[in-house]
Amino acid sequence: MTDGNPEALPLDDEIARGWKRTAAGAGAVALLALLLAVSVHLGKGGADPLDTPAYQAAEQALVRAPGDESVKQSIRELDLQLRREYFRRRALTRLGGAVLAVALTVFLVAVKRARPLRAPAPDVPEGLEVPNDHGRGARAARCAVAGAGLLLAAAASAIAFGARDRLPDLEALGRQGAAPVAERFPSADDLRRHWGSFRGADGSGIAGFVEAPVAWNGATGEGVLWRAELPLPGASSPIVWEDRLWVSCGDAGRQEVCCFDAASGRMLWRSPVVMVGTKMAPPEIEEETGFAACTPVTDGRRVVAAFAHGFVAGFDRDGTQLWTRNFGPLDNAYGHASSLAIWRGLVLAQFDQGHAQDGKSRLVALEVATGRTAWETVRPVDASWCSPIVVRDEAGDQVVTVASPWVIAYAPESGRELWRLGGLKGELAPSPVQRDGRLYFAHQDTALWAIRAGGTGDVTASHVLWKAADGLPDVCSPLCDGPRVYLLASDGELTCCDSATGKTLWQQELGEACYASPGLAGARLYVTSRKGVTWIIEAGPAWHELGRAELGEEVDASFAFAHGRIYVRGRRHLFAIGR
Amino acid sequence: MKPIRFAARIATALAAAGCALAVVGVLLPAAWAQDTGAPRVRPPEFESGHELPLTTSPPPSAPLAETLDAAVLLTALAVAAWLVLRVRSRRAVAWLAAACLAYFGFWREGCVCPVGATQNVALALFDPGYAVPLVVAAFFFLPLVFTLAFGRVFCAGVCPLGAIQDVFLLRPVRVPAWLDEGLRLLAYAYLGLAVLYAATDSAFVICRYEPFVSFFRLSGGAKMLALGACILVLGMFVGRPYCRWLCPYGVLLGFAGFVSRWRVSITPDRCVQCRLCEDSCPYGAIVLPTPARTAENRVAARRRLAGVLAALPLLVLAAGWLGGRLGPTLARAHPTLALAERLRAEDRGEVRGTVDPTVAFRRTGKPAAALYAEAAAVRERFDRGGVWLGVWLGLAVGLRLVFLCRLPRRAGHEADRSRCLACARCFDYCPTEYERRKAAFAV
Repeated sequence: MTDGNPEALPLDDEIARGWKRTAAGAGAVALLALLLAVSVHLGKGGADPLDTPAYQAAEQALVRAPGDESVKQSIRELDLQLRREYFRRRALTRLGGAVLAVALTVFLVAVKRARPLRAPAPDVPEGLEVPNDHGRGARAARCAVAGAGLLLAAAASAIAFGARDRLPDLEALGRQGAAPVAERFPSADDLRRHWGSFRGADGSGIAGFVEAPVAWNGATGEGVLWRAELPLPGASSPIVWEDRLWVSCGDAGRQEVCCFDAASGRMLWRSPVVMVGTKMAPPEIEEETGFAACTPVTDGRRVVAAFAHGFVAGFDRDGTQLWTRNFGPLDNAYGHASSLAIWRGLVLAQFDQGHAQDGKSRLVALEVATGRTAWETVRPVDASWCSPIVVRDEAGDQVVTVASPWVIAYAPESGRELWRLGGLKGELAPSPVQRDGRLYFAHQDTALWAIRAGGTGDVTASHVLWKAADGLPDVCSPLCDGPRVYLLASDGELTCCDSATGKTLWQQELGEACYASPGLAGARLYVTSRKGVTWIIEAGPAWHELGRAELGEEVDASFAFAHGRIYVRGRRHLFAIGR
Repeated sequence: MKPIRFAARIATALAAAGCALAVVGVLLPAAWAQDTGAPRVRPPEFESGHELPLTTSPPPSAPLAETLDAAVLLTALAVAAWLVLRVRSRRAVAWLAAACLAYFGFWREGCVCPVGATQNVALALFDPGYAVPLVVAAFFFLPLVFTLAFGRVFCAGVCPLGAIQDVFLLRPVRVPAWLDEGLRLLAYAYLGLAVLYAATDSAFVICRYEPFVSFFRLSGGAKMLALGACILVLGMFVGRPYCRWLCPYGVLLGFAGFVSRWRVSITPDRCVQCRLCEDSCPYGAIVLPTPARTAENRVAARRRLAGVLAALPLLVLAAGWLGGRLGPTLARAHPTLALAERLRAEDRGEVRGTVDPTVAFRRTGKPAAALYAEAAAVRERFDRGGVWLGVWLGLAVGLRLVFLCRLPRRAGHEADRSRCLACARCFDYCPTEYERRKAAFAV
């Protein structure tokens, strides 16, 4: 009851001294514990152990030598050591914290016992007059409030006007709508000008320019701008964007993407696909197909490549691997060979495997920037080797895929099926092509089909325009220049049909096996045999050979047309033909 | 002695101002930081046979526990009011505070608390789709209702944030009144920002930067631990710095306390002006008797008041305008705007790599333009919200100046209506109270 009366509770000096000593001791212990906890926290290894330079250097070593078991083992050991160190430090910090809490409690109790909160009576000035300084105090308070208000205003001004210039005009961006999209994704013009995917922007095989070289000789170097050696085998075609050219190559144990200077042929970088943590036996495939038969894609800033293992990897322009995905092992007897397509920020990969009833086939859309799956659609089709194409028209974009037994179109933004057309059969490898709202696809077990692109649901009965049966290919994709469709069979038979009716206009035996799909620049049709002989033919209603050129090296990949040149991938070399 | 005391006060003032600035310095930059939600240590990047446990979220509190919390709060408030106003015992209030610190602080880990509940209420006011949980509403309104009736008894014996600061209070020094007055504006700014961010569904900043929750949960980031430790160290010498200069709920409690019906009175009878209680309040909440009014100072006061009242609309308008300018910058803490800016920077190649939010956005397949339009709408809301924030702060400064221009009339020492935390310390210094206790003991 006498709480607060200083006279009633005089502190015993001896007890007070004891409490003070206790407080001093506890305070010292608390300080030591605090220093321990802080030093351990701030010390080496306090942050994420995997961010240490040693670990990152080891990771880089693994990137350089992905198959080196000793490097992997050293990373495991380093990882374990760093984790042990990290958790030892955490345990020490916890111990320090517990000691600190106990010592602090003792310190506070002791200090309060030595000097209770009920402090001794205040010094009362002589005389009990209340100081008459209200006016002065109020004035100081007013100044303080005004000053604090000004300080707040100054701080707000500094923040508001300091950062204002850096704020983007979101209203304008939101209103314009297309502007940021156009900035982020290549425009249709960009796609036409460059050769960023298999057979160019829309998979048509048609160059964005008309004057392409007509004479070259790989053996003598005539007409060849440069020739560059390829480090590893592959059947994929080159892709080109501005001043750079990329090819994928690889074998069972190593897969790479190589980048060349398009003007000089100098190799700018070669980056292996590093699939850390994946142990998978390489798939059993046909040697002719190889492990790098899928042509990569690029949006100009990043390049994405796929391989027969089921690996898909993204790289930036400097060759830094951005991401990898593993969709393997793929149930594909000859080896996965479907090239990638690109639509806005998505890479489209067609993984057709096994039989339709297995439910293994799927179309996957991956984000170019991150490799994450934007959507994935299971496809009721058998294994195929066709590549998807993107059809862009006013009705909306669609991804068209071909495999036995369906041609299926999907909405590229969601993977929703738009329409399908049935009746295909066989082991399909030629990819479809599009022209003027029509789709053409062909295979030796089916026919050459012309269909109207579009519709909903099953359009088998309504959208087939015509079918033709002459000169059907089994590997090479067709080419349509508008009035005519050209087919190239693997045995070298070249067929020209009327695109309106399917009627055969002419046929020509080249006499050599062909795997590369034909290309077109202006009115010149380029057809290349596996031996590296290229026929330059006038695209027209009658056979007219303009010339013939020899590369001197076997060719299975399709031509890439860019910068007025032709880029050809031979068995061992990459060629730039033209000036 | 006087120069020494003056120097000590200046040093204290500087230390207090430094700590306050440090607090603001930690809070403001942190407001723009994004939580990554990343695991503490990345999982191994190779096959080791170790199966990573699934990341789980703690389940919501059981309804019974929430009801119990509300019941404990109600009981504690009632007991606090009884102890402060009827029993008038500092010791009993201290024990109650310790019990509430143990329950609401360490046992319930500082959540729900009325301070944070302010944001739920603000969000519910501006977002019709959000309903405040009943227990949160109870936590927000009960202390206010009790304060309207009995003064700030919640601060005295129930609030765990105040209690933990009281535990550390060792040698309270008096902060100069002018400095105390200026620093209190920080709480108004903090409240305004917290309401703005909550109302725009940006963030619950009070919860995110609550300085003592790391201690209650015995876990937390180094920055928040350091912030809490700084405030506690300051609190060894300055009574409840967080409550006085930062607590946003304290602003509301101050308003309620100002008009409270039965509030703390230092003396149970009448003030004898012994001045013994003057230094007893560690929070500087005791106001002195005022001298008799003269015609001269009455005229001067009227002139001052007229001047401030005339300037008040201009002040509010200027503050509103400045707040409007500040809005777009404040908006950058909103997740949508932060995402839009990051996405734009990634697309323009201004930053390397991606972050989880941009990756997630790209996966949706939505066009960036839609995000920009959404972000622009958010920024527009912040433009308006910034104006209101400015108006609020302009009013806080202006009305405080108006309040300070008036000539109060006090016959004795009194506890400040809005600032008294009802801790009951001053009772023990009052000789009248001493007489009352002696008489009661005799009876």
